[in-house]
Amino acid sequence: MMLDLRNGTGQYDAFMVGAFWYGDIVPAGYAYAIDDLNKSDKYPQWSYDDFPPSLKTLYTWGGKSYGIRNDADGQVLYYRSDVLSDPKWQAQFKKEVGYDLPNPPQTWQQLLDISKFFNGKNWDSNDPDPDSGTVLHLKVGEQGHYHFQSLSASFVINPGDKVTRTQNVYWFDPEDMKPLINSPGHLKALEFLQELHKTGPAAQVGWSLGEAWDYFLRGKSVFVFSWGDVGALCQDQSRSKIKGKCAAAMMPSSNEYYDFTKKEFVKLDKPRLVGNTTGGSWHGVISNFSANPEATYSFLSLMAIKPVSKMMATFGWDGVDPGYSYQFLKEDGGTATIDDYVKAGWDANDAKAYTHAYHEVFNAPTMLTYLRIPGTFEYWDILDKNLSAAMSGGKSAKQALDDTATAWEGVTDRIGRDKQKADYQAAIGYKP
Amino acid sequence: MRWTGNIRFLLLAPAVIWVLAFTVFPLGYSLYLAFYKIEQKVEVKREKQPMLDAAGKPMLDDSGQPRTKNVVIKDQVNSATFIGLDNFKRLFGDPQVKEAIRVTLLFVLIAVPLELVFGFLLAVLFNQHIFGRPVLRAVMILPIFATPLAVGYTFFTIFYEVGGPLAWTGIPFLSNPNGALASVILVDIWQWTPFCFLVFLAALQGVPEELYEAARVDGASPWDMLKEVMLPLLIPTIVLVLLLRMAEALKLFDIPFAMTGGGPGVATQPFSLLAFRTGLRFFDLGYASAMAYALLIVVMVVITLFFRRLRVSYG
Repeated sequence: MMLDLRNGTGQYDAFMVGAFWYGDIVPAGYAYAIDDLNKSDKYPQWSYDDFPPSLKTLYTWGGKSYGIRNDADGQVLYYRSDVLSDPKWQAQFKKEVGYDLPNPPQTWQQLLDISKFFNGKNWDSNDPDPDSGTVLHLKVGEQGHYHFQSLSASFVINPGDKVTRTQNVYWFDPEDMKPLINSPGHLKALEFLQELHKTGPAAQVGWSLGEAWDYFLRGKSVFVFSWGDVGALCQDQSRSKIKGKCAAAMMPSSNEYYDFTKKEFVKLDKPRLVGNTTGGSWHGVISNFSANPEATYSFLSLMAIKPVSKMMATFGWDGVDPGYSYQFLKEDGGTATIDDYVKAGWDANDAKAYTHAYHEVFNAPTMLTYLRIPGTFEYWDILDKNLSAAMSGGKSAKQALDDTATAWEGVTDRIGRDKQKADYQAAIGYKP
Repeated sequence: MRWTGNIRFLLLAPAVIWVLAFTVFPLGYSLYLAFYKIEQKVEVKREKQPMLDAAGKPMLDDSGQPRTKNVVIKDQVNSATFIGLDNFKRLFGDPQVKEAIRVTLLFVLIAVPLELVFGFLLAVLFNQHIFGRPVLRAVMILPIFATPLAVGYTFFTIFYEVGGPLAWTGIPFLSNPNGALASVILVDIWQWTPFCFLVFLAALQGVPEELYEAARVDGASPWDMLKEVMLPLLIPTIVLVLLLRMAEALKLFDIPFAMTGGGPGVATQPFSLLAFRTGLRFFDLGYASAMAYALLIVVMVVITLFFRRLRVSYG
């Protein structure tokens, strides 16, 4: 894709992009704004009004719209509802850990306790082997860093009504583009992730999505936090042993976060919901080199119209995950019914929990800010490699994050600090 | 029959064009990229132009209006700023480069000698009259014909630590930095020892039987025959194989790409994989070109030194 755009070949009319590519394709003039086409009644009709603000932002840049509705990515917590509600395990947990088994866990610290409790026990009757607490996908060059992003959000993000230098920021200081990635909040989150990793199979350091999901689907772990595909795959009994036991919930919260202003950790009395749009929210963007943007828009819009978009989200295995109002149930302010999901093969309880979790994660009062500036992929790759080193024991958590920050400074200087600052401020909605 | 006249050049032209287009031009262009910072920006204008039929007349739609087509006019602004040796200087301060060099050297220094040793020992074994030699020899060389990328994915499955065929060993083949590097080395040895074996066997079979008989008459033990007859005669072949394997091993890419993705962390990321990612994932083409040239220079130096040594020793 980037070769086609950079060389100006124009072989393709459109691309299915992850939102993190916007910083590389929009400012360089490679993407075609679709506002006029979207307003016209000549093409299949769909609207940005069905988007939660967190997702709409990802489909736009600088006040113009570029993305044609398709996918909605965010990570939620999947858990074994049968295991957490089992009175036998509840009693044993209380006896061993000292408090009632939370079902589902509200904080990361609770989740760690539960993971530790179940790890190594044969709590699932599908095989005679011991099972795990939490399974992660940590293979370098794949999706490991997304785990860290979603998990660390509640350790790092300082809440507030708007984006300031210290509130609702996660990646960089918007005033000078100094990395925040090695802040005490990020460090505590990574140390937490290292602890959590010990409650899953050691091999997961080399696992990508498929292996980790398969482990969960085979009933080998109590938890996995990942994308919407997992919920739909749980329903496929040719590969899943947990249909009807696969509940989902909003991501837990840390019971403390690092206050960038006071420069100290703040303890929380109750969990604080921090949503995320972690992932790509994959969707079509029209190439600016396309000779037929209208036809391309019309074609891509066929997938964006409500009936198709809803059908794809309810099937789920097609990679289209729910995020738009007509895909949510009525109790969450949507227009879908549980029958829509049951007809697509879902267990009713799994579907209810799943759609509710996704509604929560995209409409949370505080959101993980999304990085989409030029070089995003390179920033993430550096983070990914260092996280992988930390998770495999090659580096300490502090060393890994300090090395990431140092390398990020190099990337920022190379691309141009002022240019990056302007794009970053625009991307996160920061006004100096 | 001897070709004369300009037809010689005509017949040579396809080969010359091929080499110029696919070897000389990329080499020159990447050198240019290494010394320049390229910035690209594109302005696009769109025009409606009338569609013409075969006779050059405007085509009309059903309502009699002229049919038009969209034409995209691209104004691609590429600015190239000369930055001298900046990309090469970056190599010295980049921790990823340092780590990639460490991984590559470790790989070359461990894998290549082991491949030569195992290849040689197998060649000595197969140089004897052993049962089923033709079949076993054919089986032995099969790994050479496998695509390294497919080999990488196959061994990813074999080394799979939960439920894989070797999971019972409890060895962290892919999840531990040292284990992963050892696994990459092991797979390379599996694939390329047969190559060493094949060349050594051919060389051994070229040793005249009279030399062995003379050694036997002189009362040489099997060890003496190996040391005094086989090895001296095989030295040029060994150096050649060493050279070929080192040049290949320094460019290691496929197996770690498929099997470990260069991880955990960067524990199995060789120099070529780093250059590939820098160039084709982050489009830092200048820096990637500098990396490629640095690797080229290292490989050339190694080869030159070996050839010089070979020439001094064996004329």
